[in-house]
Amino acid sequence: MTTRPALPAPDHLGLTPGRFSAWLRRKRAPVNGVVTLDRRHLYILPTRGGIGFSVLLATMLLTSLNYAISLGFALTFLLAGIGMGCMWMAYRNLLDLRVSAGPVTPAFVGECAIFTLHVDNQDAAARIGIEARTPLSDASTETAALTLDGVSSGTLPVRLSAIRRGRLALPRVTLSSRFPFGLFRVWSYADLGLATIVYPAPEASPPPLPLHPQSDDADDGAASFAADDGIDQLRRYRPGDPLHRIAWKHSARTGKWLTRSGHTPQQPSCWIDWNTLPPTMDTEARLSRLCAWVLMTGEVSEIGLRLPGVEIKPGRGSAHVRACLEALALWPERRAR
Amino acid sequence: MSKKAKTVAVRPLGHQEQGMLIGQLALVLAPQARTLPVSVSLLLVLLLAWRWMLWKRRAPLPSKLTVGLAAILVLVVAGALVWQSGGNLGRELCIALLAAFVVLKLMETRALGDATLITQLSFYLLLTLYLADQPFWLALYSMAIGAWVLRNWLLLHHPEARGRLAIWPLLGRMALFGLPWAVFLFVLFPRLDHPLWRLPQTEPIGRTGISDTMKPGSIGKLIRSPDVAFRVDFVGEAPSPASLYWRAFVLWDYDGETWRPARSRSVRPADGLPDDIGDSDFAGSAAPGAHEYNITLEPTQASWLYVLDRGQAISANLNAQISIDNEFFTNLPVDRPLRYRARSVFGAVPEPLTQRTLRRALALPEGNPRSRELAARWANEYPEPWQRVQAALRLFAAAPFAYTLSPPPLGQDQVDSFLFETHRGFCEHYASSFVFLMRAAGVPARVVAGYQGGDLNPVGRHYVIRQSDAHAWAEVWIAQRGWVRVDPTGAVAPSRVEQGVDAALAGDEIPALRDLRAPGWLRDLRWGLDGLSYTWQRWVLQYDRVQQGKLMEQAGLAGKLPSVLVGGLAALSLLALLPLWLRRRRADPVQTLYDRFCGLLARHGCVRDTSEGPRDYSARACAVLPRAASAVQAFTNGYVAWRYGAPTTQQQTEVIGRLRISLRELSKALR
Repeated sequence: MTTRPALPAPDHLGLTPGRFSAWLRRKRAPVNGVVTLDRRHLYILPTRGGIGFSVLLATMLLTSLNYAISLGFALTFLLAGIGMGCMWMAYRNLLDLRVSAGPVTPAFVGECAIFTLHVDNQDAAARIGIEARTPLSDASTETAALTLDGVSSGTLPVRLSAIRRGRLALPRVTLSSRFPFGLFRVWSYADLGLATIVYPAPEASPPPLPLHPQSDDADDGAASFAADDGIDQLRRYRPGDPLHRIAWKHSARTGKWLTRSGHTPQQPSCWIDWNTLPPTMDTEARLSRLCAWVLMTGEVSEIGLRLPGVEIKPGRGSAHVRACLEALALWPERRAR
Repeated sequence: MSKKAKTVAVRPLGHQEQGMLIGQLALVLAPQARTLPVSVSLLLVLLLAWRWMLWKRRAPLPSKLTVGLAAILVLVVAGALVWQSGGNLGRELCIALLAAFVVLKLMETRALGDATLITQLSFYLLLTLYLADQPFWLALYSMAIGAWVLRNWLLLHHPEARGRLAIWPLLGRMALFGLPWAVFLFVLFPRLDHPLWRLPQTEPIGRTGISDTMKPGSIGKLIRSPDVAFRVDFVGEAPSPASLYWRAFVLWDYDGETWRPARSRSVRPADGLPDDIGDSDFAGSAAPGAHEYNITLEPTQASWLYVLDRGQAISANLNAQISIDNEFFTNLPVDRPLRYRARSVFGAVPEPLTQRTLRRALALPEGNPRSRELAARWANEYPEPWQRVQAALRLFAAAPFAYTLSPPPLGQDQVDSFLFETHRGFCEHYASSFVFLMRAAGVPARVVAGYQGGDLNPVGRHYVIRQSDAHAWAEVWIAQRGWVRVDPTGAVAPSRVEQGVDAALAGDEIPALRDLRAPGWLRDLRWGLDGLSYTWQRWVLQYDRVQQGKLMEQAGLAGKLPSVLVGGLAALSLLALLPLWLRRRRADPVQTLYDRFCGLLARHGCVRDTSEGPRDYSARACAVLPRAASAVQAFTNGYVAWRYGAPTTQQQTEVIGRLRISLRELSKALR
């Protein structure tokens, strides 16, 4: 077992330190990417509503005893029996659910990062009202709830508000349900080890990007493509060529797979540079402005990004933009590049 | 968790859910109208109607001020009722206040938390329905409503379950799960002998059953009622219907209009019978000529008990008293259904007549000269008292006398008026005038009130005695014979005694009763329902501490109630874990065998590392435990072939068999 930072104790058991809570906090790491909520890892406790119901039953019992109401006893005990049945129903509602990690979306500071959990129900019975929360969730983030039919699967989004720039790890997720009457809460944990990246918040109304047309194209890696620069040059298809580059008409006519090479004319590439910003700005404000610039221009023109210790060569497209945003998010953690 | 509970509780309710709550509460409260004072019922209906109007118009809920004013109004009404009834309205008032405040809570129910509270209190309100009485239909009704409330509760908490989940089957399964607990606890949960507290309670509105005085018309009113007075099942053979005279008490004193019981009775503790144990046990144990039977008496609010003809003994646990006139009494008025066992013989018992009793048995008020004259003539004519009795019976059997429930009004001298003018009447007229004539003729006589007859319910094999079977007859004292029963009504209308009151009446005097006894499927259904209600009363409602004790005794567990209760609950809890255990059994059998294999080797000093593959482990085990090498290898080969091959189902069973054998060999080798 590797040691790991202690998680904050779950709030409902904060008062029971020691071995029990250590046992409760043992890691629920996925096996083959799946956390199964099996009976060894399901916990159940009555809720406040459940305690209220037992007080009601006790009152009903006292009344029946005092007035010797046979029917009253019958009603009280039947309700008590149904309450016991609830315990099993509640337990059954989460038992053997399989939880695995789904796609994760990055977020900007101030937004919500969404971690998607895949929940798979292999049983014939429906699962009602599965909720997912983390210790970082608070009242402001709405709790996601999922209801699954028998033998089906669904996704459960877990929202975490992105407060700080950088890497955001999904803490232990508590999956719980209060089915059927809210008398009992059944819960289990999943440590899925998911993480996402929180980009700096883009500045709301940034000044226009100072243009520094660069003439050092020859230096960068794009030079290798310079040879077939031009419009509508055709060459033989090579595996890996994107579909939209295939010259369908030419291919059909010649019977050979042909790919269009060369680039459409584009704006000159520009550098988004940390050093162009006024030196009085603090780090986060600079990153915010750089982020805003990347978002403004990244999709349309070729940009490069320079941060102290990091340089991303000019490029375009969503993957490039993402790389730039990532560099901004993780700076200065990841200087060497 | 608390934070979370809050987020759950604040989910606002939809329009449909509000409507569901209103309907549910109306259904829960409806039967309260039977017992609550009319003003309170009206108030509740008004409050509910107000809430319903708001819902219907989708109007906003009333403000806190309005709800507060309504609450004050409720309290004022309650206070007025207490004042009006002289502070004598405890239990009903509590129910009414609870009901009113639940309805008021509906006025400010906006979120799920409030709805849950109302739902849970609905169950308590259902319980309060049983405080007044617990008929079978109410049990069915409340169970149905209870199920409805449960369904609503589920939908309130999980609206998403609608359509995805078969809710009724789910609730059915939960009820099935709860049923063993309910039955077990119902049977074994300790009951109290005496209540912990008592709230004053209003007098029941209609006191049914015969009253302790008799004047013209008092029984006639009863005869029109088809209500059940009590039910009887005989141990062994039942006597003929004509001999079923159920005595309640004796009336001695006549003032010319009303017959009254003696002012003081001399009583002694009645002989005790062992408690009613079963239906038909020791049928032969009653003495010849004696009959044993169990009576389930409906509440009478009176303290006398009914026994057949001449009672000898009665259930010991009643601590009943017997009077010198062979009447039986309990200590407290019968305010809930009471079941007891009694033994009776037929016929008179020779007994001496004390001077005091003789005086009383001959006492007569002034008046009725013509009757006195007639009696004096008989006294002269017939030397034997029994001949005078016969003379009177002959008189009644003769032409002008008729049996009717609507007799003409009587004059000042009631006996004279009846005997010589109207000639029409029913049992109390005949009993009263017969005893008058006998006393006037010097024969000691008294009036007896009770019931006569009874219908055999072919379904439940028990007799049903209704209020319409109320009857009055006479007893005369004959030397060497004692008090002999004489039924003058029988002389007038023999069919009254043999077949019941409706047979004796001409025309449609009591249609309700005629319907009740008309043959056909409807009657069969009625008998079925009656049998059901009798069984219900006997086995469910009458189940108390005494019955519980008897049951335990029969099961041979007398005095061990606490340990049986605890043991049974533990057993049920274990039973509840059964589904979990059944799930576990689905684990891979081959893997289980392999785990046992590893455990066996570990006990002999070769523990498997978590990262060690089966082949490596086997090699190490062979080195450490060379004596078991072949068995270890055989097992490992089988396991690996199964684990990493793709065996069919049939192969799998074979593999399991082979692995079992190698495992046994291994343990032999290691021994």
